[in-house]
Amino acid sequence: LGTYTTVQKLYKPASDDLVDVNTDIKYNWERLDQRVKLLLEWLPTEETNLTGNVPMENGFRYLKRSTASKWASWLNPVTQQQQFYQDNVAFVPTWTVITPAAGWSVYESQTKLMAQVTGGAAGAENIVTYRGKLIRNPNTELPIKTDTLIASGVPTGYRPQVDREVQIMGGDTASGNVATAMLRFTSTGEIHLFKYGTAQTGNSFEWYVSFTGVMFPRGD
Amino acid sequence: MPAFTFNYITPPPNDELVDEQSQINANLDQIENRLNFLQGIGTWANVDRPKGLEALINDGNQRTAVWNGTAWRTPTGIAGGWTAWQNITLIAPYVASAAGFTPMWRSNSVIRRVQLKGRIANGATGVSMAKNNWTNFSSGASGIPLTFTPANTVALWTTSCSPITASSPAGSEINGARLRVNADATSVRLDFNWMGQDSGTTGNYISLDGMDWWY
Repeated sequence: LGTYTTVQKLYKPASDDLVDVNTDIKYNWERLDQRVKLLLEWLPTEETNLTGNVPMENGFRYLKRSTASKWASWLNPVTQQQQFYQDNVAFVPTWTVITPAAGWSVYESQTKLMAQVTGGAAGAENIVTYRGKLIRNPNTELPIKTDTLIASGVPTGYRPQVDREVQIMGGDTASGNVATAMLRFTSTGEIHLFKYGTAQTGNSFEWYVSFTGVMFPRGD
Repeated sequence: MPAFTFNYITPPPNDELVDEQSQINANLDQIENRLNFLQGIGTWANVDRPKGLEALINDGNQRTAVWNGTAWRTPTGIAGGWTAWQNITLIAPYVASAAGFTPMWRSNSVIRRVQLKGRIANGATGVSMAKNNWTNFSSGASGIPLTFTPANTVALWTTSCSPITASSPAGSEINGARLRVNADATSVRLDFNWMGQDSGTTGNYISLDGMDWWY
């Protein structure tokens, strides 16, 4: 009888083997077809959670469509568990959903309040970016000239090490008007809104807080 | 250079003198070795690595690397490109609004970006900002070097301004300000224009957080 190669399990017939074309030769090509693609290319997958749902073996690579991120499998030498990882420099940061405070909700389902951090591990040099759009519940105008808590419990990696204040715009009196507003991100994980201006007159499409373009360095 | 150096079975294929079995098996062993390398458990001589090969390098950090013919090239990180934070030299009477909020800048040569942070107050006693005109708070020989002039030479941005401590309740009102980044003869010139007109007078400041530009 022949032997199998150690890892790829390709069948090597012995010199006195009666080779069966179907089981011995075609088997090798099919075996290679299954494995080479995964070792040479990033295989696109719709799986959100790769673990347990796609084959895992050292060097198998997947392009996760949901986050456009690349993942490869390796055997963690400490835990002896097969795991997925991303290159911590080349990786695509994923967005984390931030839950609004009571009385606030997302403007529409596509505009959840989310944050991401560049640079992988939560280093002080990283930049935090926010996106999303919040409204008050029920649909009422934004508070003016008041320190208003709109979120708390922001995960540590998405908080600044000292308070950061960035300017945004908020709806104002007349249709189409905007006024200056400010977001304060605290080191304790709260987000506060300060909005200037006067009471609004019923332009409900302006009654939201947009986080588009909000970013700040994490470190102190 | 071919990726593999396979044995071709010399004709005629059924020649009893040709050791087909060992030649085929040598080919299979070669495939096995090459694939093992891609699984992080084998080795290749440098000359066998095709230029442009992408492989997963477990150097303790699990990196994606490309062989450039002589070395493995890993992605350059953006985060590692930042310099340390440096103080912005302020023109009197402007000062940091409080300890921990010193106006500072840093740059990143990978993405060619300058970033600011901190808070500027009008004197240690917290005098109100002068409104409606451009006020220079950093320039001259001790300013940010001209190397970091915005890519389009002149830039204008909006920045946030502080809660006004004299408001009621204290600190609940804000007003806008603009930041202008320009170049003078010796350095990058920074000016702000405070848009305030409310009753607050003392303790207000301009936040530089989130201000950045391409150089």
